[in-house]
Amino acid sequence: MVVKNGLSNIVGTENVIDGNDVPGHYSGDMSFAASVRPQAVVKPNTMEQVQAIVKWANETSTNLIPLSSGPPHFRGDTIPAHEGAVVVDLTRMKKIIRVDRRNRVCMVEPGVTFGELIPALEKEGLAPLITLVPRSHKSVITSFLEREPFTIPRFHWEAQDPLYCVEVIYGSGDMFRTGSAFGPGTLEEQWAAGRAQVRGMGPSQVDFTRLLQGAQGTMGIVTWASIKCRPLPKIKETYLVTSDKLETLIDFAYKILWKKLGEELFIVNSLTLSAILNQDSNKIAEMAGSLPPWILVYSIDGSGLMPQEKVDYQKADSLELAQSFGLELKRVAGGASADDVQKIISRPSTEPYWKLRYRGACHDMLFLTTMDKTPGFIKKMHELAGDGNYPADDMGIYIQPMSQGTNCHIEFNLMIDPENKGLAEKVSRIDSEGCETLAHMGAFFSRPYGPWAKFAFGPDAQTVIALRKVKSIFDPNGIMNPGKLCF
Amino acid sequence: MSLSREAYRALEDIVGPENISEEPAILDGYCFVWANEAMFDDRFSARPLAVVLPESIEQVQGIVRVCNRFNIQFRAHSSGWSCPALSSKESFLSIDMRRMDRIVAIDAKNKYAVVESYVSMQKLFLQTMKVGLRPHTIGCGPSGGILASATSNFGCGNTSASSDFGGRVPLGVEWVLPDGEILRLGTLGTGSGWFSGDGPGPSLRGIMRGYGGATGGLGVITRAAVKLTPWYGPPALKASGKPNIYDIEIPENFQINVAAFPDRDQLTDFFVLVVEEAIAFALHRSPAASLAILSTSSGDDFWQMVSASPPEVAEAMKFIGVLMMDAGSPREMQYRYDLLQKIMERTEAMNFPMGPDMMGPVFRNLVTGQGQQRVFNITTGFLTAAVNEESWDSVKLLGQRVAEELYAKYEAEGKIAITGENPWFAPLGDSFAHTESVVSYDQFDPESIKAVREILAEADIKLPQWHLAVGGAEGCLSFDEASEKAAAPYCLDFLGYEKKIKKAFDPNLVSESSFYVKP
Repeated sequence: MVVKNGLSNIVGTENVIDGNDVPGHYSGDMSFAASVRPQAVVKPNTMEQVQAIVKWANETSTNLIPLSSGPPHFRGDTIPAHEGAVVVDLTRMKKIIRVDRRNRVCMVEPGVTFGELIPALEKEGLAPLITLVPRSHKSVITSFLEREPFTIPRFHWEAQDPLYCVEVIYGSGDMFRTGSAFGPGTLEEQWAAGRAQVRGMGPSQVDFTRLLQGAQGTMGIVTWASIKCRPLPKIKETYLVTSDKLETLIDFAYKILWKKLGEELFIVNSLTLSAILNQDSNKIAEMAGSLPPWILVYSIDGSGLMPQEKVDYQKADSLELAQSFGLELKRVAGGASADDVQKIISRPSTEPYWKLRYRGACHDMLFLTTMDKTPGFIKKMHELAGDGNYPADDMGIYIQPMSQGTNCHIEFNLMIDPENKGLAEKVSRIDSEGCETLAHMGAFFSRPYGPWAKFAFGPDAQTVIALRKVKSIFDPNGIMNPGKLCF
Repeated sequence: MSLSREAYRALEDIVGPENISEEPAILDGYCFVWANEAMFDDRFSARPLAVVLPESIEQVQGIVRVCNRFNIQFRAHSSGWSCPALSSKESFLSIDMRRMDRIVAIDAKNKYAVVESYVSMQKLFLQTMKVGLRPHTIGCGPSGGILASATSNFGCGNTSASSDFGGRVPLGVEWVLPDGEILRLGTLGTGSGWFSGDGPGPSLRGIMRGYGGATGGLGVITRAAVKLTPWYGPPALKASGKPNIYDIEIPENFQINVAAFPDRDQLTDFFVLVVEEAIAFALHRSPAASLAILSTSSGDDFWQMVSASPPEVAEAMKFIGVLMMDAGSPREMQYRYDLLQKIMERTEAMNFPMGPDMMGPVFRNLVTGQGQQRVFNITTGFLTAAVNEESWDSVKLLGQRVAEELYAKYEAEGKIAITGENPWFAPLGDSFAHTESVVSYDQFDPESIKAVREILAEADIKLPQWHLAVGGAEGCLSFDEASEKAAAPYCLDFLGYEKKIKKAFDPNLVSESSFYVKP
């Protein structure tokens, strides 16, 4: 009751849930994280309310778990590690504060989803950089705070992209703005001087934005962010490039990236593409069976002053390149249409979320590597699946070049029937044991959720020491999402 | 000031007697620093306590531990070109990284190179161009250290439109912290290689550097991987000519355009469009004088060319943009050429004719960064008093206001040399713009030095008032207490956090902080 009163004073009674009224999705998710019920959920809708909550939490030694996306959740990072925590649910913070066409940037609050942002950007001739068919309730800000990959590597110059500046309430209760948003002047004064919060670096000799990325809410709570956008294409051509050999598609992808051609560029296996395109599990299985094992999705945007000419020359160059690898730029493959793929990857997922359509539940394993090493990891994952009696045919695979091809994200989607507890246990074992095996092979768990943290931080004591120093500066009382990462 | 004998012997034990010196004749070679008089009102920087030349991370770690034991201030440098590399009012131990000059690896497929601290941009470029790649280059020129710009200082140049800001290219990093511990960023820490510098979890790259680097105030970077960018030119460049005006044959798939605009708004629109269309290999707004700098070999020649130019030429060159395009195919070049014509038409640009004698030096400058350093020829010294990165419109406004409200008075008095409104600006990647407003001053003229010091102080006060930048307080050249105080009323307390970081990572305060915060 004390907690409820304290929080109600800040956000109003109607925006606090406590005790048994707390819905189950705040206590557990689709990961293997232990279920822990928070003592309350609080739903602020302004920066000032968030700041008051953090100050209250410091005074009352209450742990806070920030959360910006709606359910279902998959990674365990928004589930309290300890009893007595309060979830700060930011889904009411839905303002699209600014869209700036000239500087190709938008400023949004954490509750804004891709589905809400897309039409607002379209009106101004912009489009978002979007992750691979995100779930409909997924927060745009959270996606990029967590360094999730987006589908156009040409715009992904480096790991911080497309996030620029953020406003954050640190665990200390202090408000700060990162990058060029720190000042001089208020946001309004900066806008009047032509500034657009497009420099994510700094201020000064520290990259404050970078210290919040990958933090899983352990440093503070972000209340808005400025995010890079891209020009809305006037025309677009998408192709499916298929092969039985992943290595051939990887070599082709390297060459496309070196030539700086095209926009969307990623590789999926047949099950992932089919799950993205189909709703029904039988149809997913059917199309997955008729598709070649590997599909590279590749598109060319026609935007700017000469859209058709751009598409024409890039298409001609791409065709020549594909031919040199014995590949074709197909509009249809195995019953999948490139146009359908394009429509679907430009938006959030329809319900149910595509990862859940085939078997009802899904557990992801994801890490960074380089594209040339992905075949080795895939082989190992198949071995791990075989050893663990998990049907490897139920495993989706997604390879996303990042940093303009310098490295890549690889994701294994282990789809499972939620009623099949035995299989879930097997997947849990593959997850924990496989993580160690993959880490020894060089997999980089840059976003170490749950048990992966042990292998991500285990070999590197100095990183842990340094991160704890940073944590003590921004969250001196350790109230922000304790029990995650190395904190 | 000098080192204790015990401290000297401890350092000597680490690097050997041939790699440490406290001979005045040697040390004075580390005291002549560009712009020291503008920073510290003294022609020469303080003589170092000693200079030490390590050859491995283990030796660097040993040196840093000795510094902690004996409470010795140290600062490392590579090429030493930039003022923060060597300049200081107080003596410190100078760690000269010149023996760590190895290119450790080039991963052509994944487009990155691993280098030690002293590898220069040109040394790396000469190797990477053989495999179709290039590093970022910055304005200090090809002899500048590749890691200095990427990990420790500023880093932008003519090619930043395609190769990004130096501070955004580091991947895995090996770093001797001020307390002597070794921190390996990203994949390097977990034994996964060099391909990423961010994570696990929050990225400690954010501590290593921000918009500016820590400029020696937070330990020593010994090796790092840097991202590379495609190079469509030949595996070697053909140079000709005589020192110091070299010509380089322009490859077929490169094209240079110099365009003059009727006003600053059209010029800015041109940049906005070119960056959005992503057709630039190199792009910058060029001060009118820069073309003359590139094509003359001495200060006398430069001034002769300027004085011989009719006033209408100077007026026509007031708003100049230099663009170089590259292309991976003839089709691409045709498309880019056609697109450029449209952009120029829309922005009322006029092609600025350049003779064949000019093209080679301009190409060389755009590709390697070599040539712009001749800005010293104008009046012997220069500084960039207003630096910022943000939107195109804000850097345009900053350049204009600085010229009109800061520089004009001093130029009219003949204390500094500028040629009207002349900021250098360039895009950094596809997102934002960088600007530097250059002041040329005479480092042998006390009045000129006084003027530039006044300009720096005025910039610290006025820039925040205009809501456009914060002068020296963002770690540029004139970082000091006065600039911090001037910025504070207009900004959130970033320096407060930076001071906490300094204290947490450098508990004995031995990493020399003339160009970083002091807790």
